[in-house]
Amino acid sequence: MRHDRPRRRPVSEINVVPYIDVMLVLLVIFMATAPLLMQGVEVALPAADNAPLKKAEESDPLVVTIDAQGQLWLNLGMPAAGEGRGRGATRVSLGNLADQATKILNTRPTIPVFVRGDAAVTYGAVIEVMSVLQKAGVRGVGLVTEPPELGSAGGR
Amino acid sequence: MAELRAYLWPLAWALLFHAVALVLFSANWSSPPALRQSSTTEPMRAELLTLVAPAPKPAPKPKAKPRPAPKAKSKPKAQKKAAPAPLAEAPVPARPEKAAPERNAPPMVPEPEKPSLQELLGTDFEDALAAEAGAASEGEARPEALGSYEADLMARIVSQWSRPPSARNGMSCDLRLALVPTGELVSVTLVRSSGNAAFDRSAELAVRRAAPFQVPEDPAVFDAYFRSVTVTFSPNDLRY
Amino acid sequence: MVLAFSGRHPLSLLLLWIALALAASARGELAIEITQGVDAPVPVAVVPFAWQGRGRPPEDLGKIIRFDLARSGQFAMTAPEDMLSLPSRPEELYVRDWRVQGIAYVLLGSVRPTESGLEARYALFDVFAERLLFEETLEARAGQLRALAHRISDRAYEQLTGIPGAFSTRLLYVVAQNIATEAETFRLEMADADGANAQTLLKSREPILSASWSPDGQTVVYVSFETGKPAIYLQEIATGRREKLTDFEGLNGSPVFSPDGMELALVLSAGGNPDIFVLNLETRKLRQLTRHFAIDTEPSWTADGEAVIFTSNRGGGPQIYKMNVRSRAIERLTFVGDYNARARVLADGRYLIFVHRQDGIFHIATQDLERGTVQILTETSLDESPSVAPNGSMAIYATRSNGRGILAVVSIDGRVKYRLPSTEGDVREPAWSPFL
Repeated sequence: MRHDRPRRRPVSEINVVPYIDVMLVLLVIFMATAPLLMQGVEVALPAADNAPLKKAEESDPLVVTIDAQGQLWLNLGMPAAGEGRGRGATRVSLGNLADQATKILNTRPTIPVFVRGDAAVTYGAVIEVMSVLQKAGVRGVGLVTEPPELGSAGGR
Repeated sequence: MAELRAYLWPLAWALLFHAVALVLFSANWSSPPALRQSSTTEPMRAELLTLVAPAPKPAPKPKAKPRPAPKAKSKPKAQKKAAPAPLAEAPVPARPEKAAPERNAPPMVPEPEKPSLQELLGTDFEDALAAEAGAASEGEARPEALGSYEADLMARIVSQWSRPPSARNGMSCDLRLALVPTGELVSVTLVRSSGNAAFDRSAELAVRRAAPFQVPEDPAVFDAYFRSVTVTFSPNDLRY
Repeated sequence: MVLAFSGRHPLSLLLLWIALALAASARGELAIEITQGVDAPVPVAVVPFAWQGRGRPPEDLGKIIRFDLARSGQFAMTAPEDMLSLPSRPEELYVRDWRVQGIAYVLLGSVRPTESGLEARYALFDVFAERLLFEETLEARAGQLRALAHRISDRAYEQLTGIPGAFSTRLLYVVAQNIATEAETFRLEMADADGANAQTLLKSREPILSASWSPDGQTVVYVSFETGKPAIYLQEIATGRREKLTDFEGLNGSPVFSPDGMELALVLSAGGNPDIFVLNLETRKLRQLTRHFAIDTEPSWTADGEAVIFTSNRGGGPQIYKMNVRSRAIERLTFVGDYNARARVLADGRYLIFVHRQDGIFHIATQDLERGTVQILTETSLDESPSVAPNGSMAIYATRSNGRGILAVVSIDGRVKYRLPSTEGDVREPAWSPFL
């Protein structure tokens, strides 16, 4: 019995292996689930040949325009007289947008919503608008671009 | 015995961790509601859309046919559920699929539609006439392809038509719609009134709410058949 | 060739144009026939009316109108909280604010106090066609705000549906309280079509039954047991003046004015068993219509006054019969089921509405008099006394809920049902007024 003791020690050290095994497994699991943890806005970014604006699906969409200064315009109410991007739209604040979008979504849940962002608008500004729309109940938005040959190179 | 006992605990731990690892692996990670709840904003679908179609006749547009449309819609959904990770990919494959059946098979898709339209029109004579016209000249596969556009137009209007309580079977009015190649409605004219203003207005409202319509890509076909469309409203499914 | 010619001769240009036109017509534009629809409620928004007076408005006209139109079941009403803008004049209305919500029609307006009362200016706007359907001004005496709102509802309803609205009409019904006790009372009441503004026409310790309207809506007739036995009374609404018409031996019941208001159909059992009689209100002469050993009761007139509809058990069970007043020809109308009673013919003469028993439960049903098809309208049990609105769109009837008599309304196609709010007691025997 006493002679057995020295023999036992190396044996117990070998047991580290299953721990390593488990660590690797956990690593794989975290790698697999990491993309799921990423939160954010799902964006489809077809580079050049975008789908042309879906026609004949539903009329009277809600169009949110973000101009170069980051101001928001909606295609509602009394149109502002000819001013660049905001032409034919009315200016709204972010809170206003949330309010209006909620009202519209209450009565017409299937309304198509488009976001027209200026090329100079920061990504954050677009995300802000989209998250406001999402809270109002919008399921998905269309990001409006111009065809490559007309706009500055590449999709916006 | 003592040796075995010395192995017992490490062995138990190893087995336990393997079991946990197995469970974690076999767990369904494709729909993690818990993870989603923890995040403040849910992912949102966004699509890039070109404001102006580059050319007047791009193929992808006419998914007018009622049949391909739901197919195309269901696909991105299914993909989303199965693998939410490749976000950017989801809509991309959907589009070629959407476009594909139309681009290479315009004569195939409308064909199953044709009988239904003929049923709706209810005239063998027109059927024969169309067939004859098709045989007569080479470019006359068109009237058949027209069927799906026509059926779509009808279906859209029917789904929007709420008859007023004063409407009676046998009432009838004609509206002339002026369309543009984008499928938008330019004007509606009452060509023949039913004598009941509310009935006429309900028909007009149905048309305006149903717009825009799917129209043929080919400018010649559009000009010939869809530039101006006459729609007769004559209900036969009312109580009396 | 043609093009070369066209450069020189304007005439050839014309010819070319004609040729092209002919070619186009030869190919034929599309002609499509739509024979079906979905008949979903039409989205309508009634904007809260602007108040152009001092202080606060007595009541929002828009709200009353919204409730009126919503009750008809023909419209999907937009809540004011969901409106993007609140215009009160057509010039202030931006079509796209409403189009984006899919709203088809917008009713808007304003009220202002005048010397004599109130003045409402309102307009109905067709959003999709982008045109004003009508704009007008209505006046009302002070305190008549609800009546004003109902009149606007009537106008809008007629414009949108093609049939006149019946929101300005009234209801007559009997409220019984403390039944089977010492303090038992009966009240004959009259209220607006939405149940508001109830006023008592007669209060009695004895039962009141079978109230009905004269065609001009100025007078009512009813059966009262106030003398201990049934008697038929005529009462002017405005003055409250009453007159006893009949109090024969036995039954005096179910008085109904003829469409011209000159005669009264009623039930008398002076001859031993109940038969239908007609009383001329000018000459006070009585003539007997039916003469049968069975029970003939619950008369009503066809819209043309040519015939009387009544319930009779001459065929065994109660069924509906029709007798031509002049030729006295009798025709049996109902054949479905073993119990059909208390019939009324709709103004268009096509439908009959009556109490129908199916599997021991009493429902309100209609019968298409041309096809003979019977449609049961109500799901409740113990439904009785249907009375049709003058525009023929709805019927009011009495039913029971939680052991209490209440009034309910059902549309003639059976799609829309609602209950009228009732205060207390047992409410029964409703009668919908003619257009007032």
